[in-house]
Amino acid sequence: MAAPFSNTDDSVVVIIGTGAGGGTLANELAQKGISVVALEAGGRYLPEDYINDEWASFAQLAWLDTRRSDGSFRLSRDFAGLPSWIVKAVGGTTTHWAGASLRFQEHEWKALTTYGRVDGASLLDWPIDAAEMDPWYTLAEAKMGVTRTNGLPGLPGNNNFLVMEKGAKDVGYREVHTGRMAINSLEYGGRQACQQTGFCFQGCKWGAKWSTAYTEIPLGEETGNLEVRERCHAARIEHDDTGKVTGVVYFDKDGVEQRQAARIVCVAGNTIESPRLLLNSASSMFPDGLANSSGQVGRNYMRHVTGSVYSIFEHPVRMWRGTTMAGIMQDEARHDPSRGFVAGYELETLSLGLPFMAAFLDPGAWGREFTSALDGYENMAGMWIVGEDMPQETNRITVDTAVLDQFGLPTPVVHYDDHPNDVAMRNHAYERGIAIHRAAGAVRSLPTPPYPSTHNIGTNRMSDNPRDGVVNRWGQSHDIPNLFVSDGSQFTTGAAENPTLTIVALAIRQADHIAREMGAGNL
Amino acid sequence: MNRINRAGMTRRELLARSVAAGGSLLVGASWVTERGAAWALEVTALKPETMATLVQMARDIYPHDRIPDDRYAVAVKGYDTAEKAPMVEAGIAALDAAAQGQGHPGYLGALWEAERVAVLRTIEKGEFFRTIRAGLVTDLYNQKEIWPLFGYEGESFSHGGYIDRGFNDIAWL
Amino acid sequence: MRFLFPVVAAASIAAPALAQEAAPDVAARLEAMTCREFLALDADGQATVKAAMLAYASGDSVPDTPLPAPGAGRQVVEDRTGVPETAAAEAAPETGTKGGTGAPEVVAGENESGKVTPDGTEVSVTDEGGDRRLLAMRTSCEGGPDALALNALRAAFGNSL
Repeated sequence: MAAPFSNTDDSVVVIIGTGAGGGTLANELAQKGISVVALEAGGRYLPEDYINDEWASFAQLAWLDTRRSDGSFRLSRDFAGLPSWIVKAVGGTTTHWAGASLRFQEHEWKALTTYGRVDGASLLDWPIDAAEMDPWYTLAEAKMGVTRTNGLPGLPGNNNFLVMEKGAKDVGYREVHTGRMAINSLEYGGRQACQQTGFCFQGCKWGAKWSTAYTEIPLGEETGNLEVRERCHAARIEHDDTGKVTGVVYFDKDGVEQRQAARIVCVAGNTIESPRLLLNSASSMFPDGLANSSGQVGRNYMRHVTGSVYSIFEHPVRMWRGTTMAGIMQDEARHDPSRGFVAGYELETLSLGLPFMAAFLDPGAWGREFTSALDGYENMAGMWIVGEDMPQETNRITVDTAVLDQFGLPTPVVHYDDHPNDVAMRNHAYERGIAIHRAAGAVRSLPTPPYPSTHNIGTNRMSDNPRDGVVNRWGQSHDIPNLFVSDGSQFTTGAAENPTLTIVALAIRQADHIAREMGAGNL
Repeated sequence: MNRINRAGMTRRELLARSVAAGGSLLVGASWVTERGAAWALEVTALKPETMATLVQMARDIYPHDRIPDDRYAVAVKGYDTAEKAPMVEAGIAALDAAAQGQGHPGYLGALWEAERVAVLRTIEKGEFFRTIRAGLVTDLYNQKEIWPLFGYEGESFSHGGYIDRGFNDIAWL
Repeated sequence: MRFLFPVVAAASIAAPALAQEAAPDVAARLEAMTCREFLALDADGQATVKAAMLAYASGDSVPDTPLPAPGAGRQVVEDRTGVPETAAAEAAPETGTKGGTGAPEVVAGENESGKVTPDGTEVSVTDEGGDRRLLAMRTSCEGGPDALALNALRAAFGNSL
C-alpha cells in the first residue's frame, strides 16, 4: 500500500531512482520506519509485463532519452546516441541485469596501493575495505538469494557454460563454475527457481532473478513508509542559504513541474544521470553544481573493460537456452602485472538472441564475412569480458546546455577513451577467450567489440579526502551533509566484478548509517 | 496495397506481364515479384524497378542464401512511402550510376554478387547506404519467420523454459 | 505482493513425506551429503547417489544399490572466494525484518508435482536423459562445496521435484 506523502512534507527522505541502489535503500529505510518518497523516471513493469523479444523489450524498458557519446572508444562511433544500455523503469537496471553477484576481491578495494601509480589513471584506494564490507555483502547475498552463498546450490550449467567449462579446464584454468548468481536455484524469498528460460536481459518472467521491481519496492510499500512516484523525472535539487538541500524539483507523468520537500536527498539515478542531476542543480552558491567543490562530479566515468568472444563450432550449442550469464572463469581475475597490465578480468558466458547478435556482433559490418558468421548462430557459444578499467579524470559526464531533453534540461555527454591498460587487458582477454573456445573445438572465433555500457560506475567517487572525491565513506557528499549518492556512481574504482552486489551492499550499509544519524539528530 | 500478396498470380500471368530487370526479380507496372511467383510486393510510391534494386541491395548487404527474397522485401517495404521515396529513388539512381561507372548496365546488371559488392563499397560511407544498412539490421533479423533458418527458437517462457527441454543437452563435447 | 509470479508447480498434491521409503540411515546420509562429498565420488558413485536422491526426493523407493563409501575420489576445487567450510550454514543473518536484510527462508523440498507451463500445458517432470540431470547436478555443485547435494539435485530440476 503506497503511502501518499505531501509535497510539502519536509520530513521525508527523497530517493531519486529505484534500481539496485535506490530501490534497496528505499526498502531498507522503510523497514526501519523512515518515510521515503522515491522518484522513478520510468513506469512500473512486472514479470507478467516483460516481453521475451529483444527489440520489443528494448523499446519497453531501455533508457532512450537523448544522450551523446564521444571519445576514441569504438562505442562512441557504433552507438553515438546510446552510450549505455540501462533501464528506465521501477527497478531500474535490476530488471535487465544478468544476476552475477561477485564480491570485490580484497586487493581491489586498494587499487592505488596494489597497482601503484599508472600513467594517465586516477587510481585511488577506497576509504573502506573487504573486512568492513564483509557483513554488508553477507546481508546483500541473503537478500538477493545469491547462489553458492548461504547454503544455496549453484544453478545447473547450460550448453554455453559446458562449452566454456570444457575449454577452460582443457587450457588449465581451475576456477570455473556456474557463478554466484542472484537467480534462484531453489525457491527463495517467495520467488521460484530458475526454469532456464533465457531472456534474463529482458526481465525475468518467472521472478527467479532478483530485481528491486518485485522484491524491495513492493516490500517497502507494504510498510506504508514508501511511496514510489512513477514516471517522475528529477530536474534539480534545491538547497537553502545554509547550503543544505531542501527538496527536489521534478516533472511528473503529465510533464507538470512539481517540488517535493526533503529532509535528506539520495541520488541513485545511475552513473550518467546522477552527475547530470548534480550538475544541472548548479546555483549561485554552488555554481559548478551540487557537491562539486572538488570538481570531481562527472569525472572518472568507468564502464569496465568489456568485449565478447563468440565462436562457432562444428555442431549445435544453442547458447540462448537457459540463463544468459550461465557461468564464469575467474583465474584471470587476479592482479598479475606479468600479463602486461594491472588488475584483472572475469570471463562470463553470455548469449544474445539472433536479432541482437546481428546488431552487436560487429556493428556496421555487412557482406558475407558477417552473414556467414550469423549463419553459424545455432553452433555459437559466447562469453563476455568483465575487467577493471582505469579511472581517468577526462573520462567524464558533462552536460550540453545547447541540447535539451523533453523537459528542457541539458542533456548528458559521455566521454570515454580507452586507457592503454584497458586495451592490453581486452586483447589479453580476447586471446584467452578464443583459446578456451578453441580447446572446446571452435572452428571460428569472433572477438566482438563492447556493447553499450551496462556497468556504469564512478562519476561521484568515494574518498575520505574532500579534494579528490565527491562523497565520503558513507556515500554522503562532502559539501552537503544531507545529500547522499546511493548508486554505482560512488565507486572509487571499478574492480573486475559486476557491480550490482556491491551497490546493494553499500545501499544496505548506507541505510543503516542514515537511520543511525537521523536517530542521533545529526541529519 | 502495400503488402505481400501470395495468391492469385500464376507464373504464366506474371511472365506475360513482366519486364525483366535482371537479378532474380521480375517487375511489373506496380509490383515486384520473384520468378517462382511465390510472392509479390505492390509498390505505391517507389518505381517497381527501384524496389527490385533495393531488394537486391538488401540481399547483397546481408546475404543469406536460405532466406527467400520476400523476407528482404518485407525488410525494406517501409521505404515505399511518399515521404521516403525521393530519398530512395535518388539513392538507387546513384547506385546505378556507380555500377555504370564500373562498366555494368546498372546495379542489377552486375551479375556476380562480388561485382555488386564492389559497387556497394563505393557508396558504403554515404548516408543512403548507412541508412539502408542500419534499418535492415533490425528489420531483417527481427522477422520471426527467418529465425528457424538460423536455428533460433525465440521465446521459451510459454513452454516452461528449457529446464526440461534441453538446456544442457549438448552431446558432442 | 500485488502481482502474481507464474507458478511452475501447479496442483498441490499432498507432498510425499521424505524418507518415507528410505531406511533412516540412508535418509540421513542423503540429507547430509554435501556437494564436496558428492563431487569426490567417481562417476559411478555420483550416478548411484543421484538415483537414490531422486527417488528419495520424489518419495519413491530408494534403490537397493548400496551408496558408495565417502572419501576416495578426485580433488574438489573450491571457488576463489572459498567461504570457510563451516560458514555457509551460519552466514545467513537471522535479523530479518520482512524484506529487510534478513534472509528469506529457503523453501526447497516443498514437494509438489505436476508442472504446468504458462499456457496451461502440462509437463510431466521426468528424468529422461538422466545423465543430463547428473550433469546438471554436478555443475550446480562445482564451486559450491558446502551446499547440500540434495539441493543441487533440486536445482537441476528447477526445484520442481
